[in-house]
Amino acid sequence: MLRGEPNDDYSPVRRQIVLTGVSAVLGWFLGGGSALAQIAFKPVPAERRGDVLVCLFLRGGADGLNMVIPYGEDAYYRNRPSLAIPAPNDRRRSAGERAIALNDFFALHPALKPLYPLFAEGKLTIVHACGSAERSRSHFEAMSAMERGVAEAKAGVVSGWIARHLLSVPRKGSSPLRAVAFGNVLPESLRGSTDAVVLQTLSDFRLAMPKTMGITQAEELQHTLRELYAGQGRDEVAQAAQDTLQVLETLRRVDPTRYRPANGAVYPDSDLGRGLKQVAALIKAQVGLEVACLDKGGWDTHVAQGSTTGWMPANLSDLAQSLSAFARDMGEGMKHVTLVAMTEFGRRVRENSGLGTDHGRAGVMWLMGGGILGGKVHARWPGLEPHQLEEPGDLRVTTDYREVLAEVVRKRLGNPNIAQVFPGLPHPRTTRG
Amino acid sequence: MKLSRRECLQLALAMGTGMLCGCQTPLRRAFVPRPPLHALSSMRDLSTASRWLNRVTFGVTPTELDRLAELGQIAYLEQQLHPNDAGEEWTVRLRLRGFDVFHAPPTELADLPYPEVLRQLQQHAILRAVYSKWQLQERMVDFWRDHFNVYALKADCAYFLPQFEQEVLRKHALGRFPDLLKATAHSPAMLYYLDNHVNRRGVPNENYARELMELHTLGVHGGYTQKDVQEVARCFTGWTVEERFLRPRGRFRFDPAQHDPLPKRVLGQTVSAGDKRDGEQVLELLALHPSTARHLCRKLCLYFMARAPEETVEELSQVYLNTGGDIGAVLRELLLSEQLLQSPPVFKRPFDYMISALRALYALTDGNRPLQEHLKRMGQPLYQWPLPDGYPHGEEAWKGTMLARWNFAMALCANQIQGTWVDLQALAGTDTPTETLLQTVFCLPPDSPSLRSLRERLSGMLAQQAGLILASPQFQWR
Repeated sequence: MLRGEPNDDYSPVRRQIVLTGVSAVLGWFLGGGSALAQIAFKPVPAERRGDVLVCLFLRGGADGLNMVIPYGEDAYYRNRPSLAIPAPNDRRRSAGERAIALNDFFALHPALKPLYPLFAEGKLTIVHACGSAERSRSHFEAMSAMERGVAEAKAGVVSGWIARHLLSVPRKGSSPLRAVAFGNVLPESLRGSTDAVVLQTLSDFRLAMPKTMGITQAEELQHTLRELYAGQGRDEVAQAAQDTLQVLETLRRVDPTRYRPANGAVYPDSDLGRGLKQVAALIKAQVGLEVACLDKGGWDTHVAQGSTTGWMPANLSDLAQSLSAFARDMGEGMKHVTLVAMTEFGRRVRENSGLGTDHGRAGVMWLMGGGILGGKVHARWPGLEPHQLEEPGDLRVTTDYREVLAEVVRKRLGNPNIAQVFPGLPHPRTTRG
Repeated sequence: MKLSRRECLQLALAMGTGMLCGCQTPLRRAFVPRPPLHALSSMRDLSTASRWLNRVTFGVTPTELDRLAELGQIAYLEQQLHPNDAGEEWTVRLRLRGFDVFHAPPTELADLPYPEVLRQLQQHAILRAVYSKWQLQERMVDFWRDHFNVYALKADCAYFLPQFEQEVLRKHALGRFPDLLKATAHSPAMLYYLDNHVNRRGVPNENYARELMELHTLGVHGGYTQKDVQEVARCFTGWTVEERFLRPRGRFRFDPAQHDPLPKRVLGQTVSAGDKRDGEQVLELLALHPSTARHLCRKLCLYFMARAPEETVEELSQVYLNTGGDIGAVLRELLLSEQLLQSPPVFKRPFDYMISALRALYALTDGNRPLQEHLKRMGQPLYQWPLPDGYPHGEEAWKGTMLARWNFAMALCANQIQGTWVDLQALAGTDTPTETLLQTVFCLPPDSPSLRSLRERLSGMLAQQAGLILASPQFQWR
């Protein structure tokens, strides 16, 4: 109860919820002005600066309503005659087709089942009806706004929010792998950081040698390089060079191509699975990783989206299996990792004639990690009745995605410079005390 | 020497063929001069001269040393302070001709995809930096490019950058700062980048006003207030880019209807013309403000000598103010000062590192994509820094990308960068190849025993030895 209620911007919506009596029943909204009032993060111990941030962007506009289903709303079922996911208590459908209840209002898509244990153990939390103020419903504008950490795409800020985070904290060491983006191009969120490295795979991080060169010669070359830098006193560059050589050596030893996940974790053989596996390998190798960025595309489901089987469920299944494998593989190490999964927007409430959904507004944001008091769906639920939707029929955004990220940056990454990372974000009143 | 069109074509054809055939010897000689014996004999002179040239140019070479020895320091610097395109070598002039982006107005360039514009821009910048005789001019363009940073990927900025680079930055690089500042303020690239094109009466946009004072002129502690920012923003209302149909689109336009004509107060002075002169008056006021003098002189000190002692900054600021903001006069003072040679080495930024490596090995390069790709991996693709403060300086910002530097060095020396070619055999000779290489690259024997011991390492593997020389810590600093 930290945001002043009387002047709360969203009070009409809230009154709506109170009137319908939903909030009294649901645990996800306990009278706070903001959905975030309860996203509590455990504080990071003072001696460590912060978690490793894994930022996963679900590109294309993932349909939050079919990921975390508001089965307590009739309007959901009315709007999605073909695409709706059967409610957890829908006895007409087989157990495998029913959504998995998270509380008495929200349920997980059955394909996300591997995530349920994480939710139950309090390592996963969900923020619903979350998004930006960007209303163009253009993928590029909306992604660009979110990656730059601004409310709307037209904002003048051009650097990325993660880049600004990296710039606004003192550098811990001189790791050459401080911020890694897996993919082909630097994501906008990292623009403006000289520390960001783009790697297709970890094996790209190597000293390129001519193919004709023998192994002994290659080793001699690396050895000579080490010697050249060893003779240079202890300036920063020499240190960075030694660190780089050390990381090369470490990576050669752990050999990411032969990395074996711990605790019996099995990653799916997908881009995301392979990506997260490499992130895990990097974190465990302790090479100074602070940020990893990954993408998962394929969420732009205008046609034949699929309800419990098909395109989107396959995507969900990959997502859930990859995240769950990552958590299992990291084991105790998950304590020092915060994973954020976000998407540029959610999708239209009503399904279209192609059995798909069109670009909408609010979506779902996922937070996973040992430092999150999870097991909750945080939402100031705007409702799905016609008068509660934003034109032309979209779930309203009631939580600014930046508030969520700002919490992560402050509480889990140990960076108090929120004004620098998210310029223009209204002063957070949600977290006092 | 004036070339006819036909001659140009023939030469271009010959060059093209030459490159395709791996540069057969006779043609190559035109581009890869053998390192001549330098006229400077005593070690002290040689070491001083090398260090001085390393600070002034993109990298000392035996050829540059000879030029310096021939002219003497003062005359050399005077020449550098007065560049003219006609004075370039004909080979260089020829290569700088074929860029579409400098021959078409920005609005017509929009037919090209913006990556193509960026490719040409970078290629042009690389070729100039490596081969231009006017090294100091190119260093200063490098300096201004960050001081007046424009991000190519914002809006349509890419299309306005060729004009910005050539007619704003390079044209005024060594001229008067007030002229340079005025040119940037009128340039569509800057108007778009800092949102002044939408700065309108009643709804002022403060972006340009703030960066103008914080970064371009006074400096963050230069003594302005938030109120000044708002007032300056009002002065620049109506400064926009022509976008109307059947008008000279893509040019600067002052729109009186969008200008806030009421009087403003900027840094204690009244600005009351009520038209375009409001902005002009602010530019003049800022350009010759003592804070601007200090801000610029401090940045120049850091750029050329990695430190900025207060008294030097003060002296230079006096020169700046006494000469009405003459950049050349400030540089003359700075570059002839004792301080310059006594100050610690400057860490090369990626562009700097790449150019100095290409110069050191007398590389023949087309400056094209494969080379630009290396620059990107090292972290400094030109015109792609999003923040208005420009690419950072200093080792702190760049030390995370050492591996990319090493990989560039190795690829360059092994001739594995398409379109770029070095002839190590020709440079190193046969007698004492490693020593000769070291001598060529550093222009004086380096005092590092580990570098000198390279001969015993990887013996006979000239490409790897050269790669290590460029990858060595000694070559990361100027």
